[in-house]
Amino acid sequence: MSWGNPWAWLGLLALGVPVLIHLLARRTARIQRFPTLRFLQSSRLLPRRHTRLTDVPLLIVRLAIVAVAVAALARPFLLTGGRQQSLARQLARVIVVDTSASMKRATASGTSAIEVARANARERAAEAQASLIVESATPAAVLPGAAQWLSHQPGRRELVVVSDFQLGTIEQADITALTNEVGLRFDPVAAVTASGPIDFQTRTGVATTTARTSLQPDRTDVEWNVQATERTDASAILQLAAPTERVETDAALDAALTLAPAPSDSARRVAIVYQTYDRRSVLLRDAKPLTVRWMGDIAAALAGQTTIDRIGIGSVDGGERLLLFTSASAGSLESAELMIAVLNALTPAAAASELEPQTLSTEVLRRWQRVPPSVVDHPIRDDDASDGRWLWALVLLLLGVETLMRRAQPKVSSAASTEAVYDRVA
Amino acid sequence: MSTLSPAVVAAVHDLELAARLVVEGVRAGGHKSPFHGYSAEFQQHRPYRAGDDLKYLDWKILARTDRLYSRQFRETTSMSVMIVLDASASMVFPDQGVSKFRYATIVAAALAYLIASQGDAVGLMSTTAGALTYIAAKGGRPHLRSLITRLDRLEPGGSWQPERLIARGAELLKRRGVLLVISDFYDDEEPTRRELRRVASHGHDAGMLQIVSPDELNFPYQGDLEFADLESGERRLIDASAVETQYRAAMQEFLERCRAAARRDGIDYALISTDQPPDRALRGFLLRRAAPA
Repeated sequence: MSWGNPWAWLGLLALGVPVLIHLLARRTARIQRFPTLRFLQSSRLLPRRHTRLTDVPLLIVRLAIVAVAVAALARPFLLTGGRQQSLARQLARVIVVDTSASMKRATASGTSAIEVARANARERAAEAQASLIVESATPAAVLPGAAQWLSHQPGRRELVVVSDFQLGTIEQADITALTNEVGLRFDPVAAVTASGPIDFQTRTGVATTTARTSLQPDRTDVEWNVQATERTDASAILQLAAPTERVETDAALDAALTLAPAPSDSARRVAIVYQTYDRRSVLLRDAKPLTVRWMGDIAAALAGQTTIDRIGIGSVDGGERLLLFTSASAGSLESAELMIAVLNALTPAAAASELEPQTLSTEVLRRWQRVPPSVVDHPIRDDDASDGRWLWALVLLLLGVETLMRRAQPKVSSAASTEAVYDRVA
Repeated sequence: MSTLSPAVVAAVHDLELAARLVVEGVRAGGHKSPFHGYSAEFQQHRPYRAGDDLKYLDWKILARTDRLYSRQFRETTSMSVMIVLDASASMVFPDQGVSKFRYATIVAAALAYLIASQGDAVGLMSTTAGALTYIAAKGGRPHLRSLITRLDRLEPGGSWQPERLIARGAELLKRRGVLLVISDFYDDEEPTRRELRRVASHGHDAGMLQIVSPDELNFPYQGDLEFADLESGERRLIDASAVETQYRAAMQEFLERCRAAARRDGIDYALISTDQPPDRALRGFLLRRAAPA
């Protein structure tokens, strides 16, 4: 039995009302007009009714009316055998797909692990009556939210995690934090552990560095290879300064590009506005707050830079750019440092650990897995028909009984005894 | 046997019609008149004197002998009946349904109708709120009609002194007659009884019709009630369930006392409960009168 509106039980306080009515009512005796008091002796009648309840059956019926009405308001839902069976056939699932960098590795079939994981997730989703696919680079972080969503679903509930289960993806603490009402299933996607050497490549503005890593039984060999490349197009970063400072700004950019990766995504455009730029005040005035996500990411990455006065969006040369108003002078060391930070933020380097993952053993995963438990409660939703309607019918019935009881109270006159008296006297 | 229920009869607004309905029921059995009247009987002739009514002149003797003789009769008037009706407040009970007063009015009207239709004289006495209502005993339809109209207009209320009304009624019944008292007889028992005894001893025919309601007999009350006396207005807080048995016994004893006293004093007595059909009640009373004592 579950209740859709448990707060309604506060209504039981209303049980005091019928008791009060019984205590307060009929405090004064009814007046009965009678032809003569000659044959009526006063009986000892003491003021006593204040503490004593009269008509206990009637009181019980009235209390029952209030109690049943309150129960009906609480919107009960009785889990009968039939309902339990139909609920047991229902399954709600949340499928969490790991999208961390290690999932970009290939599987034995050649497709990337993440594609295989997505296909698996769609399959799992199709099996359930209600399902939700969540993609996250940190599956453990989304588990509580997923469990929360499941608790509002009818039927059995199951949480599925599709991942390569790199160490640290999910830990014992994440499992114990989950409620027992949710089943757990782990679908490992078998990414191929690189057999040969792994290339770890870093590209700066002027050179490409490749670190070839090969796992040996007793050691790890790394072979470094630096290759000069052509100067890449750096139009993603525009420096706005006085025209006379052109040489200095270009030199600072060149210096930055030797240390930082070249920008690869030309859609992400940044402009650094120096104090010497003549239209700086106009840009400052028209700068709009950040609304684009990547700009926010860069602003967060630049939080430690002390030379930035302000960040905003502005239109430069007919295109929207992230504007960084800096107090550093053009061509200074600070400006080069700022550009390195911007370039790093534009192209985050992949963590080396993602390329060489250790995974959780299937044994551990099997131990953590559990089947969805049978249905013990049922979240009542507004569109559910609660069993309250039967209780309302009972309230109506009880009201009828109460009316009958009130009507039937006194007045028992028998014509037969009248006849008897008459015959005796006449 | 009639099936007129008290409620049906009381529902007939025209009291004369109600009385007739009841009387039809009474007559249905067919029996000899319960009222012994005096028929006009020829006694003698005497010589005509100036001033004699010409309707008593014996025309046959005049034709044969050419002499004027008047006929004389013994008693020419019929029996007189005086109905004494209790219109005190105690008769206005129960509040719902047929009250004792309404029932008594119907019985009185039916008696008057019956008596008048036999050619006897009928009169009425009652007091309402201290004022005396008196209609001398006479016969004839117009008189009956006016009597029933007065009866219909009676408004019950206050208390009454039956002994004074009985004594006065007997006085006003010049000759030997019948005095019928319709009441619940809750008032002073002894003076009433004494007065009725005196009326009987004077040669009148006295009758008591005691009207009670079923509620007075059965006392169907329960719980704590404040009883209010209809006449005095006195109130008494009573646990009805506790006094029920005692009340019934006292009431029974009172009714028995009334009946015994009436029998001892040679007074016709009937106890009528308002849930009885009025014609049946009246018929019972009249049959007992007609039967030799």
